[in-house]
Amino acid sequence: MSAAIDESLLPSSSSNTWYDTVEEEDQLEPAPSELNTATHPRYLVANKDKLTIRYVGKGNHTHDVGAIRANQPCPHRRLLYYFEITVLDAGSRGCIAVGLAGGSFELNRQPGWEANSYAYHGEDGRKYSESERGEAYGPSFTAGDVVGCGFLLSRREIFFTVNGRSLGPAFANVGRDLYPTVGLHSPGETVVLNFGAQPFKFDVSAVVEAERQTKLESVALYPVPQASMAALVRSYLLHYTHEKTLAALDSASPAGAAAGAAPAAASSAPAATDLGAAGEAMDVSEGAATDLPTNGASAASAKGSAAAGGDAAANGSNSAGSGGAGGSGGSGSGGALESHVREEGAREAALRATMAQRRRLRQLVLAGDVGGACDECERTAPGLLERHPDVRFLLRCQQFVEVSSAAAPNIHSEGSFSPSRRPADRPLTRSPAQPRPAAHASTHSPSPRLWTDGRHSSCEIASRWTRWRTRSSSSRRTASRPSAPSPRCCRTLWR
Amino acid sequence: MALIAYEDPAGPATPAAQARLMSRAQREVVADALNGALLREASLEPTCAIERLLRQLVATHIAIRDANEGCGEGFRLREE
Repeated sequence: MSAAIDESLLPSSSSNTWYDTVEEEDQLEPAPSELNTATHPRYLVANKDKLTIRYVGKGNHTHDVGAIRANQPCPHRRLLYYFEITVLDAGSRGCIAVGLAGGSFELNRQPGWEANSYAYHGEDGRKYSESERGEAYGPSFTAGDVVGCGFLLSRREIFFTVNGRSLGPAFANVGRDLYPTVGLHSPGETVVLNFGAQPFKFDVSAVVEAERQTKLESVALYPVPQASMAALVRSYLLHYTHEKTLAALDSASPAGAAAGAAPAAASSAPAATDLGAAGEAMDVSEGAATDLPTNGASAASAKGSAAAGGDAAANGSNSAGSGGAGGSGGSGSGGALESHVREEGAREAALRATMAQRRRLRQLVLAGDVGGACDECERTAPGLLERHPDVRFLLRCQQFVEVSSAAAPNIHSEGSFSPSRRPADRPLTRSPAQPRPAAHASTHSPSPRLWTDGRHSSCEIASRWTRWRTRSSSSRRTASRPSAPSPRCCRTLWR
Repeated sequence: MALIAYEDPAGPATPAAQARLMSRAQREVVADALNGALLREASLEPTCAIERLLRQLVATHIAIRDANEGCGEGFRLREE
C-alpha cells in the first residue's frame, strides 16, 4: 500500500466523483503531440508540421545518424501508448529506425544502439537494444509501409507493428520516461509521424480490450463468498436510508436478506425455519426498529434472532439444492460464527434505529432546505454539529449556495421566499408524502442560477442572506415573509 | 458583507471548482457528510461497505501501478 495516498485529499463520499478524479488526473498527463525540433542533428530537416522529417546527411559513418524525439515522453498512466510512422521515401539504403529512447539519448546515433533505447530497424527487420547487431524480429520495411510502436504499460512491454499487423512483444521490463524516437541514416529518407491526430493503421482498441479481458479473467479466478453481493447491496441501502427499496429487496428474496445479515452461512442452529417465516420475522424487527428509534438494544436482539433464523433457513435451502456444499461449518467454529451473526444483526439494527432520522435529514438537504436540516439536526441530535465542525461548515456553505440560488427566475411567479426556508404554516417535521419545499427539484433548472436580471437589484439577494442570518441567530422565530420581492428589501440590508 | 454573482453558474465562464459547489451533486455530498456524522454518533462506520470496497479497489490499482514504476492505468469502473 502506498503511503502517498492521503485520505484527506480524496473527495468525500459522494458516489461518483472520486474514481472519476483518478481518471481525470490520468487524462491530464501530457502525451507526445509533435516532434521536438529544437534539438536534432543537422543531418535532419523537419517540416513545419513538426511531423515530417528528411535525412540530408551523407550517412557514411556511425555518428552521422539523424535521430529526433517527440516533445513529450510516453504517458505512463494508461494501458497502452502507441504511435506510427509512414515511410514516404526509403532513401538509398532504408536505414530507418523507430522506437523509444530515454531523454538523454544522443541523437546522432541510431535508436537501439545505445542503452535505454529500443528500436525496430527497417533495413534488416531486426530489433535493437544496446546493440549494433540486433536480434531477428520481423520483416524489413520500406517506402509505403506504416510502422507502429506500442508500449503496453501494464507489462512495460514494447511491441511493433507493420501495416496494421502486430509483430509480438519485442522488449519487456523496460524503464520509464521513454520518448518516441525515430532515426534516419541514408540520403533521401523521409518519414511522417502520427501521434494519434490521424487514425492509426493498427487497431489499438482491440489490444486494450484484449488486455483488459486478460486482467478480468485473472481476477475472476479469485473466489468470493456467494452471499457477499446481497450483503453489500443491503448495507448500501441501509446506509443511504433507502428503506422502501430494502423492504422490497427483502420481500423478494428473504433468503438473500438473511444471508446478507450473516454472510458466513454455517450456523449450528439445527432447526431450519421456513423461508416465509424468516422474512416475516425480519419485517417485524424492522418495524420495531423504525417505530422506536431509541430502543436500540431490544431491536438489536430481535434482529439478531431473526438473522439467525433466516440464516438457518438459507443454510437449509442451500444444502437441499447443492448437496450440502453450504453446510460445511465445523463444530469448532460454530461459536465464533454465531457471535459473528449476532454482531452483524446488531450492526444492522443500529443502522435501522437511526434510519428514519437520517432519511429525514437527507431529504431536507437534497431538497435544498439546509436551514430546516440544521434545525432538525439540533432537535433530534443536539450538539451533533458542534462535535462535527467539518459537517457544520459544509452545511453552512451549502446554505449560502441555496439561499443565493433561491433567487432563481421562478421567484417572480411563485413569490415564495426560498426553498431553504420553512414557511410559517409548515410543521417542523414533514412526512415524505408531502411535497418538497418550493418543488425545487422539478421547477428549477438542474444547476442553481443566481438571479442577476436588471429589474431587481442584487441587494435583493444580499438582503435575503442577511435576513436568513438574523433568523438563524434568533433561534426559531418564523415571521411571515413578504410574498413578493420589493425594493424595500434593500432597507433591510442597510438597517 | 460580500456578494458573489455569476451570470450563469453552469456556464463555461464560471470556474469549475465554483460550478461544482453550486451543482445539485453538491447537495448529495452535503447530505452524505451529514449522514456520516450521524452514523459516527451511533458508533457506526460513516461509509458503507461497497464504498470502502471501491476505495480499496482504487487504492489497490494505484499501489500496483506504483509497484510497476508508475506505469499502467488506474481503476475504471465504467468500462467494465
